Amino acid sequence: MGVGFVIRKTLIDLTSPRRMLGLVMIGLLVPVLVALGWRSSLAAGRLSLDMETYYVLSNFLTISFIWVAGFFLAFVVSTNAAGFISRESSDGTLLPLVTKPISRRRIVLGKLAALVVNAVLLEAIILVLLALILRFMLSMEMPTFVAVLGSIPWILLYSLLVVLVFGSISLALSALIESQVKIMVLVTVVVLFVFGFGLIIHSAGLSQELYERYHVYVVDMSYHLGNAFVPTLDRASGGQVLPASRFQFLQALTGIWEGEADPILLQGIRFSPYRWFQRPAELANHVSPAVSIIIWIAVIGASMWVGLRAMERKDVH
Amino acid sequence: MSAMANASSRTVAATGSDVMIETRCLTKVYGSLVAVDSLCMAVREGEIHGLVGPNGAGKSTLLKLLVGAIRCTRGEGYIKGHLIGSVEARRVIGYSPERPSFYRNMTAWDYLVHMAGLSGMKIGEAEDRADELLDWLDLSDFSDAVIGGFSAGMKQRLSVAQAMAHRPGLLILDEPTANLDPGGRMSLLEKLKSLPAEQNVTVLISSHILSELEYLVDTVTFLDRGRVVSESGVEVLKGAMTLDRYVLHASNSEALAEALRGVECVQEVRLGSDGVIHITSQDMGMLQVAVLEAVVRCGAVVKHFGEEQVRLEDVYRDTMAEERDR
Repeated sequence: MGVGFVIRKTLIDLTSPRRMLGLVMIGLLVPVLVALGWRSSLAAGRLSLDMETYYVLSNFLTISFIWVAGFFLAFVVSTNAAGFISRESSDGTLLPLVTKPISRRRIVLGKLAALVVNAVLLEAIILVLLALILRFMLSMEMPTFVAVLGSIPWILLYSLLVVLVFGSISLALSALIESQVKIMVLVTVVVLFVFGFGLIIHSAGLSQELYERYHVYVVDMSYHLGNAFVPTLDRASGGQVLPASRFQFLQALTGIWEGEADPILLQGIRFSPYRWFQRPAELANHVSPAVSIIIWIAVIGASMWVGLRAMERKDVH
Repeated sequence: MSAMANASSRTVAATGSDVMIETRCLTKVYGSLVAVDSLCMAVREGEIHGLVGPNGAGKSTLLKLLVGAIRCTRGEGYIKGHLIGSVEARRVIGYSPERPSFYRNMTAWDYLVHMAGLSGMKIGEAEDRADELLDWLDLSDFSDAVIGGFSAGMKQRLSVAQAMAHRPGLLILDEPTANLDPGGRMSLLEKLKSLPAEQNVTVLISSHILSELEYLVDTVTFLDRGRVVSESGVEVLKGAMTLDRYVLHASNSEALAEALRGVECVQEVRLGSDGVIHITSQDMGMLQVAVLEAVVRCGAVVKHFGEEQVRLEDVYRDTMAEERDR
């Protein structure tokens, strides 16, 4: 019964107008700056309506994956969740809390529930505002604007996965470690590791051939993140098949497509054509998107188990 | 308590139905430091029980073990038959820590509603309870004030209020009168003293201020180095100490004390710095005669002669001295 009060208090803390406004501004800043480039491309291209929709929608999805539901969301969720236990513990407010007749498990789950609600709300605000801003910045036709708006629920659904992944990992760290500085360093490492795994291993010299031969994709978290985004890509386009070639950045980060090496990008480069020099053509399908989603659910489950267990065994002073 | 969380629903009957707190060989070890050492104690329902000991005796650690904030290394404990740390046990307990901390930006009223709500009360009930508690602890005028601006004494009272939020049957208070002014201290002590009779609440209180405890508690446990040194009723302890001990307040006390030292029925004579002679004797009749003779011989004037009035502080000092000598 008391869990409702945990959710209420956490939501009040997370949704203060000043804080929300600041986060919305940061969340919008990067996409709006990037969209300045799209505006010049659109102006120069004189695209048909279909092509304009492809162009805007694919860019909207890309910036959503990389920033709005990507780095930005991961950092916001992680920094919030990282303080849930450790900050209350160091402030001394956790002590009276854990002596009340509410299980520690419910306290943690209540905080996580509030985190999810807050993050999805924040995402929804940013995505809708971004769509509106782009509508005027890019002088979008109405069908294009409707297509962009239609993609938002699917992006929010994917965001839920991102929130749960980074929220549960950070909560577990918060229950395990007292020092908030250490938690923040670890959280940053986790976020960079997840998003940059593919880039890191390829930069370290791993060729695409070895990547596939030794099934490195099994542990490539950036690949699984991208692969979990594939259903969103399919559904968000409202039945239209967006050309894979439009997702060069997504390919560089996640490697979810296969394709030919891009001769223009490869000019002057001697080493093997790693995935960020490939022009994406069709899905690599190393594993199905469902498997990647299951892997993420397993990560969420394991993190929650560690976090709840650590919280239940924690000595609170 | 190692299986504390898993056994949250397990109810274990304690030795008697009127036992509120019972511990069996409760132990807490931090690295090489044994903070609580195989501690066995019991507190009956309806009592006000004091916990006394020097700094580092393990009082706060014991209280945190009882409220389930920390896990014990060995042993077990029960609150009204429920394993310590379980939700059932915590339903019985209200706890105010030694150094209370609050959400600084919350108002006192919001904080109490939050704490009552966490304990399972519905919102309306929690709001009524918050009003009631603020009134009870004379904080009504500050109900809408932000806690960050509260004085240390007000925070202490608010902490007691949050402990009472869910109408617990057992109130565990760690130094509740620290930071309170004399008026606030007396007011709180009177309220606590009335709790067993008026609200059927058992109180376990830790304090260094022994005069307060003497006024408040029915029974007391002396702790030292994590172990129980003595556990009994306050009057029993004082009575045991009073036995065979007398005081003589008279003029010419130095000569009088010297005269009594050689008397056969007198075991010990000690002259206090205040000029009062403390005498230990097992034969009151013989002692009266000996004192009379000594008074006449020394030409002294007697102001008072009778059984020694022992304070809890004296009991504590003697008990701890004996413990250290062992």
